[in-house]
Amino acid sequence: MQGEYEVVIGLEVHVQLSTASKIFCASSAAYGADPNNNIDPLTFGLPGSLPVLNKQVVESAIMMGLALHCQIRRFNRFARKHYFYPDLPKGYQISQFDEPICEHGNVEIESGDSTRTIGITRIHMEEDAGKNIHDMRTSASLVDLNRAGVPLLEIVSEPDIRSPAEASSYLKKIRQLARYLGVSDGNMEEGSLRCDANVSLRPRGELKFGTRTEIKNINSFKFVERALEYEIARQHATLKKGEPVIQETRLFDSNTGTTHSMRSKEESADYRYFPDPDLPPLVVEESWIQEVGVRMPRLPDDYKKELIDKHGLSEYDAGVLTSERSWVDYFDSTLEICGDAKLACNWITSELFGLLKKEGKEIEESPVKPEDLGTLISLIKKKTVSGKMAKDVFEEMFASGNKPEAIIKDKGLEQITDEDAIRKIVEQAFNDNEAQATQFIEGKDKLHGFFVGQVMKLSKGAANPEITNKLIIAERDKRK
Amino acid sequence: MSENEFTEEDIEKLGTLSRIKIKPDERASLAEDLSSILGYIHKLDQYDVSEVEPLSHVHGSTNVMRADSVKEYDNKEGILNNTPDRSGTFIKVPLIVRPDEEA
Amino acid sequence: MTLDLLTENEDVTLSRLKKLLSSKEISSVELTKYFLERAKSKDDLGCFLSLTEEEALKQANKADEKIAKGEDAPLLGVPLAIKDVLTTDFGTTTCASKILENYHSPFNATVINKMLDAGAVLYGKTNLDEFAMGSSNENSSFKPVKNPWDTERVPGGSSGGSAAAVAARIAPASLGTDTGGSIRQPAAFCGITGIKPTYGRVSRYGLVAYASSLDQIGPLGLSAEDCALITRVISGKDPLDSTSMEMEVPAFDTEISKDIKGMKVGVPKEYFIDGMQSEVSEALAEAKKVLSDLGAEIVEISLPHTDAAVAAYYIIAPAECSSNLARFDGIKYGYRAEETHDLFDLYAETRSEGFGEEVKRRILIGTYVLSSGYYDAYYLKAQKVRRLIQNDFLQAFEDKCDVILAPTAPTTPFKIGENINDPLAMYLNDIFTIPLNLAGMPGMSLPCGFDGKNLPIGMQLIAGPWQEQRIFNVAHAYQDATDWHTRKPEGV
Repeated sequence: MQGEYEVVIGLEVHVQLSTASKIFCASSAAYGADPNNNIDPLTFGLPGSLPVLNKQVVESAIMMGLALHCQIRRFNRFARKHYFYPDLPKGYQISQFDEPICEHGNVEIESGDSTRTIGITRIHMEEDAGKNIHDMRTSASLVDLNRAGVPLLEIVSEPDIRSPAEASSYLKKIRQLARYLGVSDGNMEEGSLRCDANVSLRPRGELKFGTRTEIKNINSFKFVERALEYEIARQHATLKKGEPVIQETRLFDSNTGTTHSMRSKEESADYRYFPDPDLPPLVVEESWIQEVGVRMPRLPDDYKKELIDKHGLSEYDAGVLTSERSWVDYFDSTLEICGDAKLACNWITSELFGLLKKEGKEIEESPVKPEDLGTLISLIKKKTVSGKMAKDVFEEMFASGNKPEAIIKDKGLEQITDEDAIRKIVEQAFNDNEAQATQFIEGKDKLHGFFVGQVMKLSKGAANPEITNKLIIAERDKRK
Repeated sequence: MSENEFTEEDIEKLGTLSRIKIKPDERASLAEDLSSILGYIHKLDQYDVSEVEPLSHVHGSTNVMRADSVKEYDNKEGILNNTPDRSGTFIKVPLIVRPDEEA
Repeated sequence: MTLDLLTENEDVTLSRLKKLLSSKEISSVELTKYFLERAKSKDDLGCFLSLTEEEALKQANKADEKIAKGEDAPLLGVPLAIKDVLTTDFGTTTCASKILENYHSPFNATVINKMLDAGAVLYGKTNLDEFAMGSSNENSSFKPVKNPWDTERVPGGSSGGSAAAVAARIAPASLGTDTGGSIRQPAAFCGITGIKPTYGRVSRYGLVAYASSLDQIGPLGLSAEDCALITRVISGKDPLDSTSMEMEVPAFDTEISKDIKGMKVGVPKEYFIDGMQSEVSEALAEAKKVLSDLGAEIVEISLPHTDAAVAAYYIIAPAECSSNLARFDGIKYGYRAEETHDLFDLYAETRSEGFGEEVKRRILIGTYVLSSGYYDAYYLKAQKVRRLIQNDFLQAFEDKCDVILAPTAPTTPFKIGENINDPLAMYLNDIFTIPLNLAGMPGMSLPCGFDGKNLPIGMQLIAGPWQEQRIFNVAHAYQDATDWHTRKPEGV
């Protein structure tokens, strides 16, 4: 927002965890099953059913907390949050209320050309609700409880975000971290990442926050900025008219790109939180945090620093490689084989990404395994294959999935580096072209290129150019 | 709501919050019952508990957890058979009119 | 052949039935039919909500096959009744509520599986106050239960059907649940023995929750010995109930005969209050004498926060009840009101028509005490008082005594209808049983006399957490020395 107002944004992000089972029961947490297939007594809220906590959920929360530099709470209790809705089978959601597992964290995000630090208020564990589908034809709603009980982390930021672009950058950072840690696939289309935003404007220089609205239903990356921009413009126009912004919840409609007030005839929410008596408290000792910390993969920022400092990659290249864990993992495996960070980076970001993009494939689906790319790069370095030929080999690897050595051998692309073999070819070239040989020996140096061409022709391009050069000179001198 | 006395309006509000329809002719007697119970509950006011830790779980056990493994439930049909109204394997309910749902 | 197992000197105790079964004097099928017949002929007492005849006879047949092969199990072939708040994958599980009238649970409660594994034959689900909320069984949505000692009087509640069935020898023993006295008070009112184990001793998986932090399952029977056997069978850590605890389960029944000489029996002065029926305090005084004669040392103790228990209970229990019963909404199972025009109505009508008055009252109180702005004043305060009450007990067991002796209820059974319009008077009936649930302690009620109207009086034995064995030992010694527990109502 240019001019007299400053934008203040805080985000609440729901990250769906990619555990195998649900947070409090053993049904599958997988997406996409047939309606009401991932169910059991607890998922349906049957009388007599009881919750048992999934340990992986706690460890995912601890990892996310560590990645966001949070304090991890020692004594945790789950609380019940009550409201009536068909997709909430028990009539309450098991969540955490005033005792969230992580608090007081922060995360660095990119903002334009620099970085900014955004405070993290809290992270808590909770269960997801099911899904309602509305059928206008039959005037009925249909309830599918597969998603009910799937674990979520709710990550709440401080109101530190100052623009829609920063909001998007923040969200991408959260997604990147979640994917790095392997706690979530971060897939917004499948609802693995959902976002609500608190937005307000205040006159520049003013310390007090303006009245905020809460925007719900931002369920896609491309809509984050659009929804916020619309809402900021709406609030701006309201304030310009001298009218107050009303504190309310507004829904984003992705079809129109607008937000509208959620008018509910129901009474204002009173969730009646209290500690869930079915779940004993959870005590997170320092030793557990350390144990989880040890198992944690390296985080993108640390990784990026290492790529620059230790491997001499550029800031840009390091940023590209670390933006997805799968990319940096691929890079790692490639590097392990070939030992050349710069070559590995170049091959991945240009050749591999180029072909993947062309085929619309993710790196996980790459027909070329990182070990094979590593081998190819080693072969280049050993001069077994020339850089130019290696590109053809790589394309063949991508098309067939075959090993580089096999392709090179099959097609006879292997460079001839054996000096005796090349010497024989050179001798033949001299013998076949006596006139030129004589001129060359007598000092017509520019015929050197002619003989290189002859040797390449005879060897079908496989002779190593450097050795060829050397041996042509040697042959000339010998015949002098 | 005042200290100890429930009005009929209070009862109506609580009914809404707890999704129980209370007929107008039941409100007065319920207000009376609840007022007398609440009056009795205020007995607790004579205890100074400012320094006492609340007790939510009696025997102090902690960290009861299970490993993250899937076990498919073996009687899903037994669950779905109790559903008052079904459409395939969906639970059918009257049309929910709330704008935060995808149509 | 018409069986007659009940004579002047003979009763249907578990040890006797087991002997008859293992010596093949009687088959499990015969025994099961015997109790089914008795249940049907005494239907007017209202003890059962459903009989699961077909399933029971199958179980009995299986038991007979095992007996024939010489196999044994703790309850092999013994027919038992269970409170209809425990889920079974056969028959219905109604909780005596219209909202679950035709509900078929797809799974068995853990205690049901344990009983079946121990060879028991489960032939019927007993009546109760709706969702176990009440002290008289008048809150059943289907029918009241009558006290076999005087059919104009209540059997107590909420496990009224389970208690009356045992008193009338319609069942040799039964399972009940106890949230504020629901096993012990009806046991006292019906002249039988019943124990609420330590919170966490028995899995609550499959117990339809009323107040999760207070609910516990336990047996009702003709003697401490019978209760000890069933308690052993149903106890133990259950991976499906996070609040059940990993504690060693003693052989309560085989370890029951122990000298109680030198055992310290505490008598809390706060449990002898104004307005208590004099015959109850007289019976308790007699019991003290008996225990003292058996070599126990009687010591006076104080549990200073006793007076706060009922008030704390009527915050905590309704709060948890309002939460636990939120799931009964007509969406996924159970009763759904017809012809409602929107979702709100569907909820409000379903719950209004499906729940009875007392349940609604407790949901409303619970909703109120948890609502925004009131939490600290009510719920949090009650949880703090709960700590004080638990500390009272822990202190007493640490410093003064091994078990506590107290009355179970301030009076003998009252008349049907007498308290129904005064909820508070009804609540105060549980004044001596509630503190244990708040503190998580085990407690037993056992018969210790009769009043002038020949109505039974019960006394309570309380121990520290996981110390049920002490209760069984003292109770068994007492029942060895007295015959109150062997008395049968007229006509039985």
